[in-house]
Amino acid sequence: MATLMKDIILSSSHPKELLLQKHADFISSYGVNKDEYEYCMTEYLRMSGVYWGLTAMELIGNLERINKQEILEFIKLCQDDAGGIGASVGHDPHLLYTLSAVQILSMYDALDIVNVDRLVQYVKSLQQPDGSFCGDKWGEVDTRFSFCAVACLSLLGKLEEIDVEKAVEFVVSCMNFDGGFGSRPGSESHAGLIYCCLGMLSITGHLHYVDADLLGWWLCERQLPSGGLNGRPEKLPDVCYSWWVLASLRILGRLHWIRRESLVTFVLACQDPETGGFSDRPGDLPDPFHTIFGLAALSLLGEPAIKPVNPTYCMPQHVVDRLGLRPQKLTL
Amino acid sequence: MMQDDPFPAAERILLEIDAVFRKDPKLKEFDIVPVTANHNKSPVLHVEHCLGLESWCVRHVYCYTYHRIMDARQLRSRREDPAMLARLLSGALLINPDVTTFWNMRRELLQAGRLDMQGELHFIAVLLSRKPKCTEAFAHRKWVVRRLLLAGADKDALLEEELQVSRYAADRYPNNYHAWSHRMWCLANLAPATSAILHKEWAASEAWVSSHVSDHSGMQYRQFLLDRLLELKHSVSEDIVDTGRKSIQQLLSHSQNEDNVDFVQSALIKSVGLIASELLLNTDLILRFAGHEALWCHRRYLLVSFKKILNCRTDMNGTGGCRYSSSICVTRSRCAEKLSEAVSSGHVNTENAPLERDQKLSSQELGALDRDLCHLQGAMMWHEAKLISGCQPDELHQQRLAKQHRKWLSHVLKLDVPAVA
Repeated sequence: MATLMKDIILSSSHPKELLLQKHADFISSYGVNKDEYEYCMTEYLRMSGVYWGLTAMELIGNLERINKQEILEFIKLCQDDAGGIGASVGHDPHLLYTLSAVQILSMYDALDIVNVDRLVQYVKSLQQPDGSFCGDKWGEVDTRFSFCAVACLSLLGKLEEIDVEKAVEFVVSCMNFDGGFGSRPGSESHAGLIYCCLGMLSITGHLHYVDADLLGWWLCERQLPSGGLNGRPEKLPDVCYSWWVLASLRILGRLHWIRRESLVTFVLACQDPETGGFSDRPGDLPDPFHTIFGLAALSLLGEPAIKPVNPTYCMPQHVVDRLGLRPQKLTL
Repeated sequence: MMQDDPFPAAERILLEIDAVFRKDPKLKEFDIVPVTANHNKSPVLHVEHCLGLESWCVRHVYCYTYHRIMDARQLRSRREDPAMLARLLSGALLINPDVTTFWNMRRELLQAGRLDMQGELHFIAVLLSRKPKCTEAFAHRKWVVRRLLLAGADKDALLEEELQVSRYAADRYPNNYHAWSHRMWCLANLAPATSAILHKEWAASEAWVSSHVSDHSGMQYRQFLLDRLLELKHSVSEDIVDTGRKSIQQLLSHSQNEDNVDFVQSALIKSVGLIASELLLNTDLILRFAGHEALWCHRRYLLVSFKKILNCRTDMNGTGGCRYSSSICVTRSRCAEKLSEAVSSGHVNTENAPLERDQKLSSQELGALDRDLCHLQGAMMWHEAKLISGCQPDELHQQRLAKQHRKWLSHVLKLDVPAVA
């Protein structure tokens, strides 16, 4: 009996061309069309949603369709007295949304909208003696939060406020035998967390700790016959991993190790030809999360209609350049 | 702002849900039951320790609870009654457990003694039945467990319960990252320093991975256990040593090597035996269940671990009297080598030598040991070659995995695969 491989089969009915205008329409109408229930169900991650949407719009040259003033007002209201930023008004602060807010403000060149000093103090307060970071005051530790902390502070030019060496030490302690990284020491390698850890080491200039060939090998094995990428062995391909795996390979200087053509075909097939936007896999419902990662992946793959994206920050390259940031990248 | 027309039945529904949790300590599952029309009876179902909520009311209940909770947060001066607030949070989180802020509010209630810790563990367990990979639920669980520990709760009982919950979540969702992470965290934080629990877990995990051959997370947990067993200061159980000894003999008996190797006397019997028996189990699973990448990934881990033992001998030997000394493992030990310069302590460079340093061996014994290891390496590689060539050609996916494995052996592990007749 032939074994079924965990992958999808692309049919000829899936989109093959990039539907840029539809994606712009999808993002700009996303919040508007939601009913009350959907709004309440997703408000807990609204700040990140705004970051995904705005970054997507800027990458395809449509940022002017978003009401900038409204967004800046919103962010201002989301900063807590302690300095951290929450997902929405009335929600508790968290590193995840603090980073999203700082990314948006960097894009708009409007960091002075929030109290930067307090924000920096907030991030700093979350570092633990072992160098790791908690996501908020309740104590959950994860390498995602290490990335959030250093990305956030570097965008503010305040990286020196934390113990960078200790922070690096913790991330490196999460490295596994396959070259990958997990959420904590001893945790399974996971493409999303690998991206976070590489991003963290890229920002702090410590990529020499990584075994780039070994990790590159593992990352390339995420590519399935359909062309799509998964995040761990025996998982289905998903557009968001197109970003996490590709960005990681780009940071490692090994992007060309992937089968480019079939990956482009897979990502394009994940577009919704009617509403616009990308979904996790062909035929599923699109959302802003998969839309930004689909567009950013295509940008890394050299799609000329999309502006260059920075693999470390997942932000338009011109913004990272304007801030004078030079996150480390390896070369082969 | 309160809604003008709140869902009038919501409070009754929340009370009913609360009552089910109170009166049924054995409640184990929650789910949303697809019933699209309101039949004018309660949408809260309670059958055989399972709690159901009819789907027609879900959006109304959620919007009601969501607005009430957000209003309560704004009117800090006029606090919501804690019991009411707890019911609102239960209802909202059962429907949408991703809202971090609502879990934070529960933590505040717990801190203030307005919610019961044990009851909270029960609530999370039931919630996980519907959302077994919910990050926030596991994070909250850890928080509660930490509080209970500080309060002097019985560690053994806690560990028992946590192992059950994480197994339950792992059974309900394949490759459940959070369930297995939680299990590792519990073992690291709740288990006593004795080896009994490790042995129990090792045996249970063998049964689990054997029936979940696609589950890489479950296998990675087994790697975590194997690492702990290898590091163990105490000796491992007789059973494990015995299985290990037999596995080594089995590996050697299949090799082309004619020499009679008396490896069973070696100082490395525990570590090499553990790896050898796991390798044989893995071979068996690969051959019985073709085309599972998770199994092949696990195999890599075992081979890397074996290579580490060889390195450890060459390190001790200094010059390295054996041919294998030139091909020192490139993987984890290389990472460790690089890291040890910067990382003074912690998880990375404590590559515990499987051969205890205070174990005094004469140079003659060391020589014999090296010879045995050489033989064993040859036998292992022969075993790899045999496995690769034994994969059925009509199993395309298995063939692909076998080909990848051969490539990995020569490029990453830097060991040549011998030709098998």
